[in-house]
Amino acid sequence: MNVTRNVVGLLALSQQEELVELPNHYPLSTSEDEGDSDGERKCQKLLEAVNSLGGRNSWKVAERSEASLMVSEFNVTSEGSGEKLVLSDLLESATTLSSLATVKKQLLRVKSKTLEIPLDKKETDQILREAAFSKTSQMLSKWEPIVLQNRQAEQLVFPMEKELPAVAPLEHVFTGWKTRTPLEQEVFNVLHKNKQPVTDPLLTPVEKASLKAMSLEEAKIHRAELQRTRALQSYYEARARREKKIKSKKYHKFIKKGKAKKTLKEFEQLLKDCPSAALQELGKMEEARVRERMSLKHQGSGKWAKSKAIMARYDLEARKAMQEQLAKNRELTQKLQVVPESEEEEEEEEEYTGGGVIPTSDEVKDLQMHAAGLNPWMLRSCSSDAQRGEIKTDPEQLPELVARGSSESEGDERPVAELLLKERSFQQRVEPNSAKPVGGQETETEDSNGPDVSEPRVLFQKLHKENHQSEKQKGNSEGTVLQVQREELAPEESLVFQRLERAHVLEEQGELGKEGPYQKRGLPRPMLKGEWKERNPHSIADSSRRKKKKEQMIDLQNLLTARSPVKSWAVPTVEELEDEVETDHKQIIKEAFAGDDVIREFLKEKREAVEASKPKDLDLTLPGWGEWVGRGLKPSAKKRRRFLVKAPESSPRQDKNLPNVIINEKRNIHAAAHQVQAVPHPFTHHQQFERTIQNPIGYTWNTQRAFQKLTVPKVSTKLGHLIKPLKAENVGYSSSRSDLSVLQSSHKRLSRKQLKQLKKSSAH
Amino acid sequence: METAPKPGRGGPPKEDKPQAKRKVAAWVEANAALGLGASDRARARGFRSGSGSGLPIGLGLRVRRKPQRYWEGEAPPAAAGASPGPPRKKARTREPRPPRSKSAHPAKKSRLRQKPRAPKDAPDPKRRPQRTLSGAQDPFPGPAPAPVEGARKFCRIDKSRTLPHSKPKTRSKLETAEAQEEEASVRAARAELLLTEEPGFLEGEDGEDTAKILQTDVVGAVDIASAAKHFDLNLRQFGPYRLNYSRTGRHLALGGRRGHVAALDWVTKKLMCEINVMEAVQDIHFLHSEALLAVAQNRWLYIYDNQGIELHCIRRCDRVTRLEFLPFHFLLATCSETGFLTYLDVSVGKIVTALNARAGRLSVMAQNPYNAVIHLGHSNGTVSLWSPAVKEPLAKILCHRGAVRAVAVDSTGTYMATSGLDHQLKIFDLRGTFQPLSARTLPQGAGHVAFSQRGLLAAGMGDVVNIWAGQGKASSPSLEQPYLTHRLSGRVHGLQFCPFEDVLGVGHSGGITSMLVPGSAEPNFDGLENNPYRSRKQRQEWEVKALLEKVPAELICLDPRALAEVDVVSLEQQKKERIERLGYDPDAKAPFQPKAKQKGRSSTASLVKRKKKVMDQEHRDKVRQSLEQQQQQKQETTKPPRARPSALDRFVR
Repeated sequence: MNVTRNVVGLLALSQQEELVELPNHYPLSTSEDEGDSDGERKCQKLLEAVNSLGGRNSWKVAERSEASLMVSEFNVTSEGSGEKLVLSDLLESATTLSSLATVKKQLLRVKSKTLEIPLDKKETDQILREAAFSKTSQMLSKWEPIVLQNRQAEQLVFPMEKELPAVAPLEHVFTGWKTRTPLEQEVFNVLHKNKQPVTDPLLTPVEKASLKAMSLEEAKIHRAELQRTRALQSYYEARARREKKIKSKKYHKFIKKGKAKKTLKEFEQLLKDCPSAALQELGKMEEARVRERMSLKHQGSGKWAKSKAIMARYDLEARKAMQEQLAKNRELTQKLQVVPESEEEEEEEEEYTGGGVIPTSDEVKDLQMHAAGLNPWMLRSCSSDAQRGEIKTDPEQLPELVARGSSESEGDERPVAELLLKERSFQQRVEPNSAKPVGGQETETEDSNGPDVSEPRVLFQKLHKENHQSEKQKGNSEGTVLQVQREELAPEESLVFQRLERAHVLEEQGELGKEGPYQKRGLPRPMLKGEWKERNPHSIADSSRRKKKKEQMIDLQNLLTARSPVKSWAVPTVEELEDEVETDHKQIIKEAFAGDDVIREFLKEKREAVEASKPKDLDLTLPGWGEWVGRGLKPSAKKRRRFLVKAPESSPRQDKNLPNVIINEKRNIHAAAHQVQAVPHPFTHHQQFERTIQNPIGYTWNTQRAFQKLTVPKVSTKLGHLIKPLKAENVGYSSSRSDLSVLQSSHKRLSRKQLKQLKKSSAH
Repeated sequence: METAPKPGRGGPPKEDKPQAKRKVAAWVEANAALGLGASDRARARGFRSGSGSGLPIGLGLRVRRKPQRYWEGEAPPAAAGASPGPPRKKARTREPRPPRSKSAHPAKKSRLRQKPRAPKDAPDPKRRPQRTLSGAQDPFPGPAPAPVEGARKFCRIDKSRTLPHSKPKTRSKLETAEAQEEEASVRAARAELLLTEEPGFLEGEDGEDTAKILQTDVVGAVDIASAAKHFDLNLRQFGPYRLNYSRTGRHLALGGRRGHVAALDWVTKKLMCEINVMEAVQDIHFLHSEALLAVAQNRWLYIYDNQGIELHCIRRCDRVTRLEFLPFHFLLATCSETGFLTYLDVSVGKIVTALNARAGRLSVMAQNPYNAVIHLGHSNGTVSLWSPAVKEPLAKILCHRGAVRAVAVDSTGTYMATSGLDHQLKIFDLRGTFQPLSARTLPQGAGHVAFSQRGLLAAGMGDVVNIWAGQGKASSPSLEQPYLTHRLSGRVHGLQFCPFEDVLGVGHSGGITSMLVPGSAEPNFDGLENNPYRSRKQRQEWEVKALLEKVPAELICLDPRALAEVDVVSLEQQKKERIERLGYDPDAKAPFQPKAKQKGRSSTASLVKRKKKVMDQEHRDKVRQSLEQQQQQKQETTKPPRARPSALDRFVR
């Protein structure tokens, strides 16, 4: 604008009039209309123009001569405030500046009140429609959960308003009750007098109080007691621990002596008081002493040992005995290494076959040591037994031994079991030579009459010599086989009877070897006891007498109660009645002819049934079309192929994998008439619908309550009651009808801005 | 163990016998049951006449409260000195209360603590509904726990199949159905509490064989009432006897080969009628109630009433050899020497169907109580399964190499026992596979077999009856070891376990023997279905109800739950017809229609291109799916390859 003004100033005066006519927003233009005298105005303009030419372009405050509505914001000045507007003021908001109050006031007054151009009707309508729709749908969507709930509800009960009869417990009702009649009053008086509970029927206050008091007291005592015992125990424990830690031997000896003295004193006392008890005590003490002596602690402290020690210096014999004693002690106290038997036996076999070392009685003893386990005390008796034991394995004697051998060998126990193992391996080498039928029990161990330590040795030697040549020819085949088997069996050897079983297995192996390759059996397995017994039943009877003596391994009880097939008395008597004879005769004839025929017939029948149920191909070839026809002529293969309508592949038969069954695949049309033939509305697949009807609802299959609940009617109404429509208030909504009415009434012309707001509000 | 008397037993307990080295333990006779049925509706009618303790056990359970301790501080006053209060457990048998909101619990507790301090507060029943004046607490707060394990056997929806994707509306319906099923099954499981009676059993001492226990021992060990159930009828004159118990187990009908027909209330030994029909009697059977009696005589089938008066002579059923009655269908199934299986509807007196089995003389018949299918045994070793709705057998099973001599099906319809001329006794699984589960060769083969209600199997071989037992109910009897054996005075001619009594009736050439078999029968009966103690009026009422609930004969099929299935074949047929009628498939997926686009992009060429693109995509998906399927099939069919192919493989045949 300034530019235009400058231009105006620069133009010739003649042209100025036209310029003035130009529409500009110069503030003066407002008062332009009223111009009365042309000359005056022109003069003024000229003056202005001249002024403006003079250097500085100063602002002239527009003066308002008249009141008008239109005030330009550009006319606001800071004149009245008496202060100049600094640039820094402009950076902040006007409100903070207190000094510019007048300017602010002016600015406030200035706010433009121009109306925007109204939207055209079409657009307005559309926006209104949209807003109305969203508002209405929002309002209606409030009902959605209720509608959904009602649709899914198992039962709708009308009328809706119902008051649940409050079922108050009797006691609540009772509290509001007051005594009225004199009788009642009297009763209550009595009750009160005796402090009987009126409302609380279970205990009187006195009773309650007493109960509580007593219980507390008791509790305290009990607790104190408990605490005390706990403390005492902990003291005692601590002391014991402390004492145990003391390493001084002297102290311990002292303590022990003190204890011994004390016990002695007690014993003397006891002797006075009650001699019989003292005697018992004495026995106990004696036993303790024996135990102590037996505990191998006293190798050199015994009377005999002491005397020998003295003599040892001079007497060679005594020294020897002493050394022997020490050696024995060492041997006995030595920790035994549990050698897996297979290895051991392997070694032995090597020894045997090599012919280098001949087993002596010592070795036998060693063996028994293993047999007896880790307890050296067990060993003693065993070894002595074995030393006395005589092993008769002479092939010449075998046949006669067989007769009674079985029972005896089986009957012998633990110590013998191991020997059996030993001897078995030996025996097997003997047998090929002897070439005599041995019924599975070849060995025999007996308690010999004359204990001869060297006898086994001699025997072994003899045997060895005899068998040496054949052995070499045969090779070690059997031995190795046995080894392998033993190794397989090695893991389970914890129990003695298992060893026994193994012995038996080995026996079996021997038999197998004899029987040759044609009689194959599975891998040797540890046999069950019962099974074994079954194999040699007579042996049980024979040896039962012997078993009674030392029976740990074979449980007699088990044997006797073991299930034997109960047949003897359940077998029906075979006697035919005359009227059944005839039919039975027929049956017997049929039985004679029964067999494969039945199966073949059945298979044939099944094949036929399968064929019959298969869908058949449809042949549509017409002979004579496009080719010659006549006797002996057939339509070409190509044509036949072309016009053959193949039957659809049927689903696999139910009895496809069941050879002994023919299942009829035909549909039961009579039953199908009772089935549902259409799937109702919300269901899209028959399986979904089936799931809803699978649960029976009848009272044959359900309890009475469940039946009632399952068959409850969808809608239940009360006779003579109005069913009013659902109200928002009933459901818990305040009605929002007013919103919609407001919207509809304000169908005036709205500016775009207002509409936008309306839209926004309705959308939210 | 001594002979411990069970609570449900009638009569005084006996002291230990000196000779009773073997233990006949705790043998509860079945009839001591209170009339409590399988469902709780039976409560209404459960009466019991006769001796024995009539108290229902389990209902009057005492509640053992947790004793209040002094260190538990200020407790609700009444709980401290709780006398054995009212039998609150009863509440558990009732229907569950509506579940309380969880938030209610802590509030209640805090109020409990406050109460003793301000006992004078005005009671506000609305605010504290659980609080009672006496201060007594509910010892079992909340709803009764649901017996989930027990409820499983009552669930009938087959959830093994996965359903196709369903819309929300459908899903909600499915959920409702499942919730209903669960609730019903839980209720049923809870109602099992009312089945108070336990089955009897016989147990050997230290693994002693129960088969060695004689009937005399059993009889000696049980109470008098039960001992009276063991009896022998010496009827040598009229030849081998067939027998039949009525459905309630109260009545017994016997028919001698030489014309002797009698019906009696065998518990009281009261004779109802006794006649001689002057004709050979092949078989005898009660109809739906003990008032009617069907007798297969030499020529025709006759029906007598309980007075012995001949009501009908059915000449269309001639030369009948065996009779079976299907109680829920009111069908009398007869098989004849002429090879016909005839179904007679006794409620209307019509012959429903006569099926020609085409297998010669029929003399072996049994019914499957689970699905009412008739099993016929044939001379070619097969057993065929028949329904009146189908002309051919539903299934044929090859069971034996020789002819089939006897067939029996257990009460759950799971097992079938057959005995053949090959002296084998076999047990078959009837659940779809029809394969033998166990077999045993018997020295002389069994001529008659019968299952008891609890799955015991009896077989009559010559003059010996063997009984095998399984592990429990609904398990197949193990044929290893007989449970009991008994020798009779003549050859066995008929075998039946008495329902609801631990009794096996054996008809033989020397008469009738009723032997005690502990644990054979179902101890709890349904008072509305089969009430052994029902009066005449009750029987009449039951008759009417049963007739109203009669199942149509054509519904008999192998799977009795087929009614709960949709007829898929006709459904598809209807769909096809509809498509034909309309000219298009209304349910088909609409073909892809590309959207119109502007600025020249909706030219015909581009539309076609877009369409093609979508089509190709779909096609690719389809191909991919089919390829995957093929691969899966291949994997299934190919065997695991051998470690290394040998050069000698070519010689392998």
